[in-house]
Amino acid sequence: MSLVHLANLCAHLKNCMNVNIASTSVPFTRLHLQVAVGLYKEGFISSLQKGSTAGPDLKAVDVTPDNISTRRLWLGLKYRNNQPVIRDISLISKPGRKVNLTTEEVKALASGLAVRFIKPLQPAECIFIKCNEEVYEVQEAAKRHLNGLALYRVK
Amino acid sequence: MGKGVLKYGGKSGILPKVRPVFKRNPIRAKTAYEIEKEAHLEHGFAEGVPLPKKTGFEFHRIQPEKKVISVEERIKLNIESKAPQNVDESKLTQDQIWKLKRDEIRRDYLKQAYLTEASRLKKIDEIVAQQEEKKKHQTELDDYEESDAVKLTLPTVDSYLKGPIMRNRTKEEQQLVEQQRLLNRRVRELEVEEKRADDLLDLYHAAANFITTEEELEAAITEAFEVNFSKFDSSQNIIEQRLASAGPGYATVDYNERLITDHVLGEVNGKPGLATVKDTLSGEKERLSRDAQVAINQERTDASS
Repeated sequence: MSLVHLANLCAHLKNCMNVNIASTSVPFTRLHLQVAVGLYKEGFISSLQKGSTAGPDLKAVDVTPDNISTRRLWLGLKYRNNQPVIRDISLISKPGRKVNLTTEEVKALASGLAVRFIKPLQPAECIFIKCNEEVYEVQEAAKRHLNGLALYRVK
Repeated sequence: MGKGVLKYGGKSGILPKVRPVFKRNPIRAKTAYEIEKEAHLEHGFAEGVPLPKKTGFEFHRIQPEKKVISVEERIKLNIESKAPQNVDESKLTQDQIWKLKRDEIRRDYLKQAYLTEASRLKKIDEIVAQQEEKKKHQTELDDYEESDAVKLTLPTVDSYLKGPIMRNRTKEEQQLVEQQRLLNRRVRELEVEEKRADDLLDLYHAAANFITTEEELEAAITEAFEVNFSKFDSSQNIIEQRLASAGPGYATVDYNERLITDHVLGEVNGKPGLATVKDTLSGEKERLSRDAQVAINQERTDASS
């Protein structure tokens, strides 16, 4: 898992939203898939498809070492009243400043408190946390009493 | 070895079971976990079974709570209140004074024993509480249920995340890839070898005109400057003209023409190329011409007959 790749993903999504693109693709990696699933579950993107650099797959294609470089994950971006649904998406942990949260801190964050330098959660905002190689939304992480690395926030 | 110890595997020195220091009443109230655990415990006889008569004893289906007596209360009750008050030692015999002292030492020991046991029990309680907390956490994790929306909409994506993201090559596919790589490498090596052989042949043909001895050099100088002077002069003029003219294409036309001719005919500077040399060396050319000759002869004999 690389925070650099995550930062690139955030910047890419913001760029796409700025120019009102309907769908975009990102490299097919586990982290990107986890992040995209998180965004989809919380309703920030409209669709999630496997595909290649040419476009979303019409038939299921196996991911093999021969085609991994051309495999992409296609994300359908959402707009409402001509405004992008994702207003902002940014990293919390940076490659040089990783923010590991304890269970108590995760719960505090989920209940709307500020934790260290992380500003409180606003309405319609989500924070994603990585725990045991999986990405959870902060509310879910709090329910499960998890602790982990604060990845990014999206509103 | 006594007879009785055989049932302990022939070991001597089996100690009796340790008696609890705080025997009848607990020293602290029950924790939430204990209350929950003992809530379903029932004793005695089943419903409808007549109870036996026992004087001074009452049957309870659910045991009544025992009164909690804390360690401090016990110390006050069993030790401090029992210490003799206002004893005038001057009126006592030496024996009685010793007994008083002995009793005090015993009370001290009992007090220490109470405190040590209490701290031991406290430690055990803490460990149990930690374990319970852990167990509870694990149960919550196990029992966590995702919402229906998630369960219904995301099974496919979740299935991607469960296994490995990429399927590795099968053994056959891996062998194919390795063969292809080997083939590619060999083709490249062959190309290099052919190029080198071609260059070598080029050098060989060119070497025919090389001047290697002093006599040849003399002859060449005489040829150029005395015998065939006009050719040298005209060549020099042509070179000067070409250098003076602007078009660089003009200078390379001859060279390009020669290159094309060589390429089409498979020759090197108008001399036999690598393919021709190879055919000759392997006897292929000779075999072909022989076959052709035989075919021609055959045709002739057929025509004459």
